[in-house]
Amino acid sequence: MPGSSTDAALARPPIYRRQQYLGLLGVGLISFGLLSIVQSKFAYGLMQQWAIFSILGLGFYLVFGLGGQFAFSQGAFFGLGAYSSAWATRNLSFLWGVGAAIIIGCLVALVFAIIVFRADHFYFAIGTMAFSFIAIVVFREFTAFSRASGEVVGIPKPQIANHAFNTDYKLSALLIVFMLLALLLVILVERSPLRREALALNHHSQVASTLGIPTGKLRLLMFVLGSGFAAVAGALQAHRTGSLSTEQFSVQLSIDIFLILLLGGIGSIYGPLLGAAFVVWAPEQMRFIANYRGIIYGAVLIIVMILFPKGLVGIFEALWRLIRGKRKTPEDGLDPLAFDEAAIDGGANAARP
Amino acid sequence: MLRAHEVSVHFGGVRAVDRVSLDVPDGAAVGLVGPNGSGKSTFLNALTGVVPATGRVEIDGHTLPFGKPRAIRQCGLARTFQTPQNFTELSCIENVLLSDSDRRLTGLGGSWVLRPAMWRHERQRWKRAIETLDRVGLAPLAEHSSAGLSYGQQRLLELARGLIGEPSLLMLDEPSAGLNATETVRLAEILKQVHAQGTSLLVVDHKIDFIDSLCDQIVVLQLGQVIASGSPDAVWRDPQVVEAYLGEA
Amino acid sequence: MEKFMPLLMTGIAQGSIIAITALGFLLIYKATGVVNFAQGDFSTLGAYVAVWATTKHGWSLPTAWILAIVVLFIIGALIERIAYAPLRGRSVHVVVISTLGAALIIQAAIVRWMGPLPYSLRSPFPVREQTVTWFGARIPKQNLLIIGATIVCVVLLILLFQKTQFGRQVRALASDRQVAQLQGVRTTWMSMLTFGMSAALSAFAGVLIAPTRSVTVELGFGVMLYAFAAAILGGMGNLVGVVVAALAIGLVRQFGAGYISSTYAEIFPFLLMLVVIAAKPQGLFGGESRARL
Repeated sequence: MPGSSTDAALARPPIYRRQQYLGLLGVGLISFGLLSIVQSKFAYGLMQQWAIFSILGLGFYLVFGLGGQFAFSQGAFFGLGAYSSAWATRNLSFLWGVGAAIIIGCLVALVFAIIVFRADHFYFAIGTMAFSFIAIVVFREFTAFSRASGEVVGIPKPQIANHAFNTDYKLSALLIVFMLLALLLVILVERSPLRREALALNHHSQVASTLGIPTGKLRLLMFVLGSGFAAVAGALQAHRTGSLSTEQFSVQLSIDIFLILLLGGIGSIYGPLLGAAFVVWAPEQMRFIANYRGIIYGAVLIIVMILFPKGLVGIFEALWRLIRGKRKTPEDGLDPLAFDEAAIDGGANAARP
Repeated sequence: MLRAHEVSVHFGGVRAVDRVSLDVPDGAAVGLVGPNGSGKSTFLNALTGVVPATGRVEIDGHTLPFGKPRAIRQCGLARTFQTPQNFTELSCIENVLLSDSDRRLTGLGGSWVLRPAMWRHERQRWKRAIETLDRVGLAPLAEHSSAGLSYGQQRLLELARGLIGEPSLLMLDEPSAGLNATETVRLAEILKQVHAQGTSLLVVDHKIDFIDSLCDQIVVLQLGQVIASGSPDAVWRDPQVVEAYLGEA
Repeated sequence: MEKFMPLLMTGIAQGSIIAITALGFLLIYKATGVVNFAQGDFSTLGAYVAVWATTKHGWSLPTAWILAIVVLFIIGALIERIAYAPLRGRSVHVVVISTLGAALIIQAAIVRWMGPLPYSLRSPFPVREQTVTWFGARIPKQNLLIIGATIVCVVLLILLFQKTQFGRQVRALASDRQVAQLQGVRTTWMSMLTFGMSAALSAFAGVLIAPTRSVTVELGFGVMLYAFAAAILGGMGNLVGVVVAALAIGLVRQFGAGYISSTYAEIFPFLLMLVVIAAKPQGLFGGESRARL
């Protein structure tokens, strides 16, 4: 028996032993390390995109990884945050822009989730698709402050207290800081009762509610938080590129976000980072696949589903265990996507094939 | 002290539970038996708010709100299921922690803002969880994933989850199903200890020896209705009960 | 009246296309429990196959249609083998994500194959005889064709499900797969067949609607969303309910555009759907509310 388990006074949920703060530090060091190495504008661009997609992915980890909601709305909230910030920073400073994105994003998410509160998973998912579609049309047509078909230009670069982030290096550093902040917030959620309750709600929400877990409110919370993250990512994207157009925020993007999380590994907070890295870095490394991007992504989704349910993180974990000589743990066989509703009556428990 | 009065559950025209009334006095252990399909599990489901029901249920004087599992849990009612419904993605201690009645600072406020206070409560909860796991003999496995447990251990884990937070009444749905003779005896011992320590029990099961050794009162259901209730001796001699069991073969 | 008739006919025609797509989607859903996010792309691909046959090979239109339907039938069955069968027994989320992957692949493959520029598929009616005049308004004949074809299609489907062996087997599968297997329904074969049929139905919808707009990669997607809406509004299981809901959506769309606001018309059906989801999660016509997701 491992020593820690026999000492009853010290026993605690294993998630608290995972040294996430160390991991955060590691990610920070690696990111800034990479940043100091890169030279070209292009490489800076990749890092910036990675930071933004990581935040998007982390938000989706909250919505789908923890909260268990199948949702196609991340792209729409990305857009909502972008437009909100662009609108706010016409008169206000950058931080207010981000603030506006968070507030508007969370409010809209809250209203939407409350409206469709009674819907079960499937209807909720389709509802988010509809929401996405509505959002794009609204972005396109609501030309109060944008040009025709939702184009916005001239969004200022970020500026905090007279310090303008107008060089590639500074902008990248700022975005990485935002990403680390997002990661920290997710770590705080991981290292709290929220994680176990969200996972319980995820897997058997009826059973979870009989234990006293506030399943409805928790789902709502995860959805609003995750959408808020997407809004922030959108605001950052707006200020990074300086212009917006509606094609950036389609349901297609939401599907790509699925890929980011699933490929990276849905059960881990580092999954979105790895997934985002793949989505940003892979097309560049394999120039020729840029032409086949859609096909490759689709194929990767299917293959990952079939062979690597735990994604890249799972592969790393397996390697790590190999190095340290440990044997398989019982969790290896688990499908992190096995969200079954418990069939309580009659005791039949199997998921129907 | 549980008082159920004329509880009924309808499923599309079928009365799965038909005006069932039963009492579980403080500190008692009541067995609920009956042939398959007699509505035992449905009755438990009704009490825990999982299926809609009519009637009136009081626990320690509070009326139980039908259809609201959370509120029902807060009233002090806990249950286990016919097949163990443990969360295999979580460790044993986490499974038990989920059901604790102290839910202070388990939300976003505790997670993002008031962390020191959250830790204080968490440490107390961990201590209680370990003690509860100890009562069922699973303390050494606290940090292990619940996925690796044997079937008998899964049942014990579910039991521990039901026990934490000192429920007024613990309802067990066929706790001995799937256990071999040794495991069943062990389970009976643990349940007797739990009962001796003051928890009221409502046990649904098929194994007559198991029920008799544990319960001082038995209620028999058939086709959703109560057909007999009383001490084990009286009930098993009741001709209606005998016929219900023989007749179903 | 001048505005009313064309809007009405277009609305019914649009609703018909949505109905066919929704029925194809429901077919897969009832038989396998899967929410198929590649449904719209089946329509798109069908339209593209027809375009390829007519523009690159000069084949006649009916031949092109038949080719599209047959090819998509095969592709549907293939997708069942590749994206669904290996994941049998895993949770439904996994399969759904797989269909997402299949959708991505189909879209990208279309772009690789035929390029990103829009095409057009000619209508079966000669250029100068595209419309008829009813009640003083000009109605495109294509709309009438769509409506007629849909009626035939729906009737055939209803007959198929109520009266034939195949239909009974699908319904058995839909209610309990394991029991159906025990009763000798060949589930593997049936899964392939239903995916194939569903794809063929979508292809049919695709070639019908293609002449009324330009053929691009997004052709099927918009229809698919409306089809989901129709399925939800119609209660996810009720054949007639779904058809009625689909027609309602088409009409809401057209009349909304004509009488209220053309810029926001696209979203009216979705607003309606959100209202229905919010108020009555079982859809307007009852039926299953618990889809396997």
